[in-house]
Amino acid sequence: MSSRWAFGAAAAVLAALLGHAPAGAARPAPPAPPAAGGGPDRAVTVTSDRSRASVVVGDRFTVRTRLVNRRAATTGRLIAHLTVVSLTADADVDPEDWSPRRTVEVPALAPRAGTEVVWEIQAVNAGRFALHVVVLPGTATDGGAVAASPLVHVDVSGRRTLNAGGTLPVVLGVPLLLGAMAVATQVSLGRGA
Amino acid sequence: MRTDAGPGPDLAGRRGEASWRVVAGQEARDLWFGGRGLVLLFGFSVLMSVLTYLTAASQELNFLEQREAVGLAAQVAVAVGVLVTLVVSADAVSGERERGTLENLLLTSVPRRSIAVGKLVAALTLWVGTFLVSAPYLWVLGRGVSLWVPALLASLLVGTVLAAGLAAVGLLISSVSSSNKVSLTASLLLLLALFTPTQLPTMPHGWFGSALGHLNPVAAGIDYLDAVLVAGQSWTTGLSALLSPVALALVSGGILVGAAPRVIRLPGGVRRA
Repeated sequence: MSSRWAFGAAAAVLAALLGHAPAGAARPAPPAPPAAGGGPDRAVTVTSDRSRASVVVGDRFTVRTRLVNRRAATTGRLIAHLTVVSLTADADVDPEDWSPRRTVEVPALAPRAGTEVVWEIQAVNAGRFALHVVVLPGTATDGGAVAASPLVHVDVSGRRTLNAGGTLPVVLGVPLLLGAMAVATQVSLGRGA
Repeated sequence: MRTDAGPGPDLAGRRGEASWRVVAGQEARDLWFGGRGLVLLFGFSVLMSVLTYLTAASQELNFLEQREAVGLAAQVAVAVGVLVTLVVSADAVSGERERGTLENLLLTSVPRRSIAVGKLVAALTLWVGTFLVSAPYLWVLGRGVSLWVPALLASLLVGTVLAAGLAAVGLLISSVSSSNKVSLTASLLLLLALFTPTQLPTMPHGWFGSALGHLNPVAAGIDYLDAVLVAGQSWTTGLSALLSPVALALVSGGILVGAAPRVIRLPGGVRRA
């Protein structure tokens, strides 16, 4: 990456010295298409109502995100998508488990208008996670830029509720009891006959 | 049903008691004190123990998968409970016919409708036994995710309706079958056909798939269990899904009671070995 940057910079300097721009370097940028984006110069910004959550595994919580169109033009249709990422290497995340509705279609936003999208989330794994929402343009003509919300850090404390040892009284006791009853019944039937 | 001693005081002599209750009591005694019921429950408990231990031994289970495990245990309890109830009811008339005990029963003063209802109730005691055995397993699996009470109630509701409906169907099949083998085979094939759609990865979309899912009482019952136990839906929200199991119970029970005088009978002539 750095060698490509260095090559580009050297080409730009050389082109400036020679009086013309080489292909792919230092060309005046075309006007940005109306697109979703996260920075201050972007069409759409995404904010969330919280930056951190501490829950116990199994708890449900909500994250409210606000999408605002910063431009003077109406946006196209937008797609908001929730992503869950584990911040520790030992936890596998299946985002579908965390929220059954992770993709929401947002109608076009008028200039300076905003809308709220509420995400219902259930913490299904223990560990440290980060959630964020990305907003994509809903049509190809709107360009390819995306806007992303700030991260919401989620600390999920574990609660081991099921262990093999704890189930043994039931797992062994019930069949033993029923087996003993069945044998006793057969024995008493045999004596009766 | 043991009627070796003839009508006797057990059936004909207890006029004060509803005759179907006499039949049900006698059938239930045969089922439970004859050992068949306990052996079936023992096999069921071994199956539930293996399922529960394997679930509990898994360290990788997340919260949702634990709910799914409770849902699976409830589904297995309902499926096996319905299966054993259907097998017992499919044997109830055709089996007695082959064992030569039906004649004695028909010679008593008990109406045929009472015989049908009594046998149906006795078969349903096996479902009740299965449910009671499944209760500690559902408690062990579901207590950590606060799901054992909903699991018990939902499986009791779904299992009772399905068991009643399919036991009535099994009794009808048993009554009209020429042999016990035919009755058992037809009943098991029916159950298999009803359970198969629940194992498909996905049902066809659109009205056809939706209609198939709602019309099949077993698929509708299993879907209801899934919705309540895994998806966390309120138990009243999807009650309409239970329309087809309830309809099956009412229709098949009605047909059984209505047709009992004609279908619970012995064919005429000499039976050749």
